[in-house]
Amino acid sequence: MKPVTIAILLLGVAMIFLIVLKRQTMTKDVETHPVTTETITDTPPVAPDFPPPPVTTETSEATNAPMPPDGVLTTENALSPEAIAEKVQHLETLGMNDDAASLNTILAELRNPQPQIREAARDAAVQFGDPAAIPALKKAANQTEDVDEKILLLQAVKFLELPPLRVPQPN
Amino acid sequence: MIASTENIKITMKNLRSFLPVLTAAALALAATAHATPAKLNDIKTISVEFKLQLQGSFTDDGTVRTYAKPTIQRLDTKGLLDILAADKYAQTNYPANFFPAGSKLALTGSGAVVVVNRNNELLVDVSDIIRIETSTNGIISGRVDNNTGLARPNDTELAITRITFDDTTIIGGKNFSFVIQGLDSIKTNDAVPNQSNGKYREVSNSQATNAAGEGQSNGTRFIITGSFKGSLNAVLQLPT
Repeated sequence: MKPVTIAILLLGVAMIFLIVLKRQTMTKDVETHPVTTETITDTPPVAPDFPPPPVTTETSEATNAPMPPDGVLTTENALSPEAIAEKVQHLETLGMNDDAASLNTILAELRNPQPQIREAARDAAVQFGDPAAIPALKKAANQTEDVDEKILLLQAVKFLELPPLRVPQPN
Repeated sequence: MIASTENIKITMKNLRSFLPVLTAAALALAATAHATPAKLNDIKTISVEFKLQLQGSFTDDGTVRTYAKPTIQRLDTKGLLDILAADKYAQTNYPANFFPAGSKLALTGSGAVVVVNRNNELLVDVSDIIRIETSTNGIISGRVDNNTGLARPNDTELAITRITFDDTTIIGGKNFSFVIQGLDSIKTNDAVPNQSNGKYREVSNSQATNAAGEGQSNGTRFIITGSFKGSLNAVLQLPT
């Protein structure tokens, strides 16, 4: 056999060997990283009747609430019920503080896409008790298209415009 | 050398004699360091938003008495806490006449009204001054577990809730009292209890709008209107 022929034969064997090796590697990858068609949901693996957020008997607020101008509620930025409850609780806590940073955080949440958080921010602004919140509340009232929300915000403004009760020390 | 050895002996002797004193001081310090207020986990935070219309002054010309318009003032949770702090201080049940920033008014599972700090640690029980009572003939809608009585997962109760505030018996207190009540919508959401330890998370929000009542502030009568809310988010445990 001529050397050239031997060389070509050897090259062919090498190529076959390489092809077989490549196929084996691909098969291993599929076994260790199986591709599934299962969709990933946001729901954590919990008990079957994991509670949805507290809602009224009417349609959920989240679907009925009009979209605020600078915040759109989408599936991407929608928070889980636990996250919403945590945020609401945090705003309740901020409402009982007396520092400017807490008030700024509260007022920023008046434009949150989640209606429950906007409501908690409105309540926290009232509980904080500083009339400095009035401009932000008025602005939020002007910008919302939800009539009920507008009323609540304007009621908050009216409340903060009242002087606080001063109970004098008895004689 | 002998002198320095003697000095060491004397120093050691002094140390031994002071050791009991040092030990006692260290133990006392440790005891105070660990005397932190109790943390309450199953409390419903209460917030109020009241408008008070106080009786206006009057003039009388002998024939006609003319009353001025009522003075309108707002009373929020912080304002209520200020009054409670002054009352508790007058009772010597609290060391200051104000509560720290971040303090909250709360209702415990047993019905006691308390003031807690921002970490839900108990500051003082104020049940002798303020009571929050819910009527017994409330109506329920939604789903309730027959065995546990828990919401499955949501239920709503409509009831009449009344807040009664009275510090008039406290010497040196604010002489402030009122009663207000309203239709309370209490929405409860319960998770399924853990089978091994009976623990479950409960989220409950209650709200009474258009509440109304009356009271007096240091002899000046007033009508009180507004709303109050309750908020609970806690891990509770089924009774064994």
